[in-house]
Amino acid sequence: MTRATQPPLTPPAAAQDIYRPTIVQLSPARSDVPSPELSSTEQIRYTPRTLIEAAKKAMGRPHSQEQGRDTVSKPSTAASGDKRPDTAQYNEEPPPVPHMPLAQKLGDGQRRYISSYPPLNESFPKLTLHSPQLPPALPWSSDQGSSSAAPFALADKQPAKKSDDMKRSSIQFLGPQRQMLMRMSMNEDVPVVAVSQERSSIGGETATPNHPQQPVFQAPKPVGIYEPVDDKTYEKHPSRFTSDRMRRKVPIYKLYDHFNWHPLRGRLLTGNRPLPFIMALAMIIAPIVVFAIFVCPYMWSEIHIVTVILFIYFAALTISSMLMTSFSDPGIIPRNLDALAPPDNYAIDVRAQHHALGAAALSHSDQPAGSAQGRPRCSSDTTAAESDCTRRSKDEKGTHSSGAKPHVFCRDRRPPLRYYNKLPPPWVQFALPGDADSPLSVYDPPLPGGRAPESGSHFMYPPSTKVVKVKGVDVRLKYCDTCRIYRPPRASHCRICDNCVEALDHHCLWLGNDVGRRNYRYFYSFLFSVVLLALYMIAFSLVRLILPLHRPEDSYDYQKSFGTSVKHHPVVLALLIYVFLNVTMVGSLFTYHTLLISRNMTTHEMIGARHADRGDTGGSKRLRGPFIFDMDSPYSKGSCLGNWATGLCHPILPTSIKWGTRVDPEGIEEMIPLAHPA
Amino acid sequence: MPRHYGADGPPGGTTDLLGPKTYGLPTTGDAIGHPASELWRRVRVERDYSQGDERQFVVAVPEQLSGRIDEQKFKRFLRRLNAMLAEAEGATFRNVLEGVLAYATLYISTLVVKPHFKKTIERISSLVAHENKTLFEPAGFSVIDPLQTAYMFIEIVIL
Repeated sequence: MTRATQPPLTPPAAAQDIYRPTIVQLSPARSDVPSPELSSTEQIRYTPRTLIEAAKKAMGRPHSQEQGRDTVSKPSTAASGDKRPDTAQYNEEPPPVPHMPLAQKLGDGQRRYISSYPPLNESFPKLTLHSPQLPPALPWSSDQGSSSAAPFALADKQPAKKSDDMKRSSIQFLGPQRQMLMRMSMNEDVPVVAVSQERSSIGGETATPNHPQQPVFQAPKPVGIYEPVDDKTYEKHPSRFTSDRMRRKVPIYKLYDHFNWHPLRGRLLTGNRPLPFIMALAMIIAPIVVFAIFVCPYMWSEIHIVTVILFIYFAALTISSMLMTSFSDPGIIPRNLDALAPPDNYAIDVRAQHHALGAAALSHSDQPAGSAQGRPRCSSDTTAAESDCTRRSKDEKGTHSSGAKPHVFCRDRRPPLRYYNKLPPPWVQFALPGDADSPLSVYDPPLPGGRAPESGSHFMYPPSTKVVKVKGVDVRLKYCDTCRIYRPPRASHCRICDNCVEALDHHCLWLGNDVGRRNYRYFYSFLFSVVLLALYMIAFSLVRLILPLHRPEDSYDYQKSFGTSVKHHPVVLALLIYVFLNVTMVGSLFTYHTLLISRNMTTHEMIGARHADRGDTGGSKRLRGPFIFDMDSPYSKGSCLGNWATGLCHPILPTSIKWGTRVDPEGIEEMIPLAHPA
Repeated sequence: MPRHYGADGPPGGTTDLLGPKTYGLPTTGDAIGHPASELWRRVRVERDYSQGDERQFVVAVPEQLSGRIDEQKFKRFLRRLNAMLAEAEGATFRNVLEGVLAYATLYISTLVVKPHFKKTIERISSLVAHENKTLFEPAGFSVIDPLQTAYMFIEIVIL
């Protein structure tokens, strides 16, 4: 059974509405819920990235990978009933969607092991995009004359002749609507409102005349789910389908949207920076090898074979602990545990929302809403939000027709996504209505330029913190926007790996992995082994240099000076110095972590407590010992031994995410167009 | 004056494509002014951090369940769950030995010796399944195995 095409929606032609939702259809509606009537618009499921690519292709502005820029179709000049010259271009070709990077740019050029599941189809079949319903009440076009809300009229004057770069940088200081217009004038990408709609009427309302026939989103049909796939597609992508010609499920680790690398088919897990790890491994193996070549023969022959065996054992301990730390799951918390359940079909693109709200704001004769909150997130003080809303409603003018448009499309019947991590990026919000009992807070998305939004947009978003009591101490749990969870008390988000990790100690660059709850014991063992091995190597290097001076059997060095011995065995001295320097650093880290374990603290907590403590003293120097002895953590068990037992010997629970579980990639909102273009 | 701002829909009209006029279906917009619990068909039992970092759940009956389920049985279920979790997570002598053995044998013993907590985790899952069948589903709920939520909360679905 294929997904049925459905007749399109008609927006009630409240042409006075300035506020426009940007409705991005995410997934097909459930079969038991009657779906919106969508004409010839197949049920779509896509992420904003694919949406953008699709939109660009649809409008003849190919993605950067494709060949050159197609000619942009010229706007029709004689659009019926359209008195606005500058919006004529919307009739034919809506401005394309800006490129929104899927991953956050982390400045130092993160490499990412992106899922090896790229779209099979290079080109989307016939995807087109609706243009936004521009409000007729745009200031420069309406017959209400020049209000002060028409600061910028494209038709009248050209923007000042600046270079493109200057223009681009100065755009951010304009109001949102002006930004949009400037971008249009610069032929830059302007966020589009993607709405599936049809021209038929509902409830007797007639369609607006401003919008001639507009193209419609047609999704490529994902195949291989309900019925076997055809031969052509199967032959083109044999690995994607089973022998039954049905879509093959994909293990989670291939689809999870983070920066870790999963070698060995998902059985191991490590970070995405191999070079520091290889360097560290080399720095440990090199002295071991040198020691084995230059000192071990002497130990074997002159001292005892047991010393060599012990050396090999310690070296093996070190390397095994290192590899266990580097390649085990540190305790990654699955995502979307506290995400708002996405609506059945629709999400809201906040970026375009900003512009729409900006249009509303500007049509209020350019007054920033005085009663609006300055900061984007309210606390969960809904009474304040409510009073704000009522205040705003009083502020509205009668002629202004936009007001607050809580476009709520949520049908909270789908389960929150747990391992499904392909939720669209944070600029796509899922809106839920607000009410006094709602556990969520009102979130008014900030407009570009930092302006406060118009009257209550009714976006609901989880409050940014939540307070719990840990042993009587109030602890704030923060909401992680990337992972969409409230972080448990000791968890932290690792920016290098893009995960929230339970009890994150730190991200160890040299081991290439986080050190978290599941990992810490191996990390500490590694430190301990390195110190042990280094001390052993120092001891026996010294033995190698000094013992021959005192043994008559070693006629070569007998009763010579230490300097001569060194001259005869320079490599051993070099090794000695190298190991000594290293053990100084590793030893201090080892001591530090020993102290942390004694207090059952993580590095983050230690650093945070130190900052807090310094804040309390206000800079005054008190006679006190080192900070590390004065701080206490609510997680400590009270006794040193108890902390040691808990810190090192707690059982390591299995990973929270079963990386090898095979899931239907379709189920995680990732659009993988498998249909072969006919 | 509407009962709640937005109770009748957004002032000035709406272009809500999923509005009730379009489909005749109740949307979440209808519940403005009503308790959010009517929308949210998922109930959570949160973690209890009062004893520290261990995984324990607050032994309390959520308000959505209060009239519809036997409270004593529910609390007993939670207490049993907590006890099993504490047993799985405790730093007992056996766990200490297991850790030292693993380190000494270069972690090869982890392949051989089955960790004690795994059995406990399986017991927890079977407990949840059993209680689902006997206690929750007759009352119209379904408890999602907390293993799936990394033991961050217990999620109960209102069926």
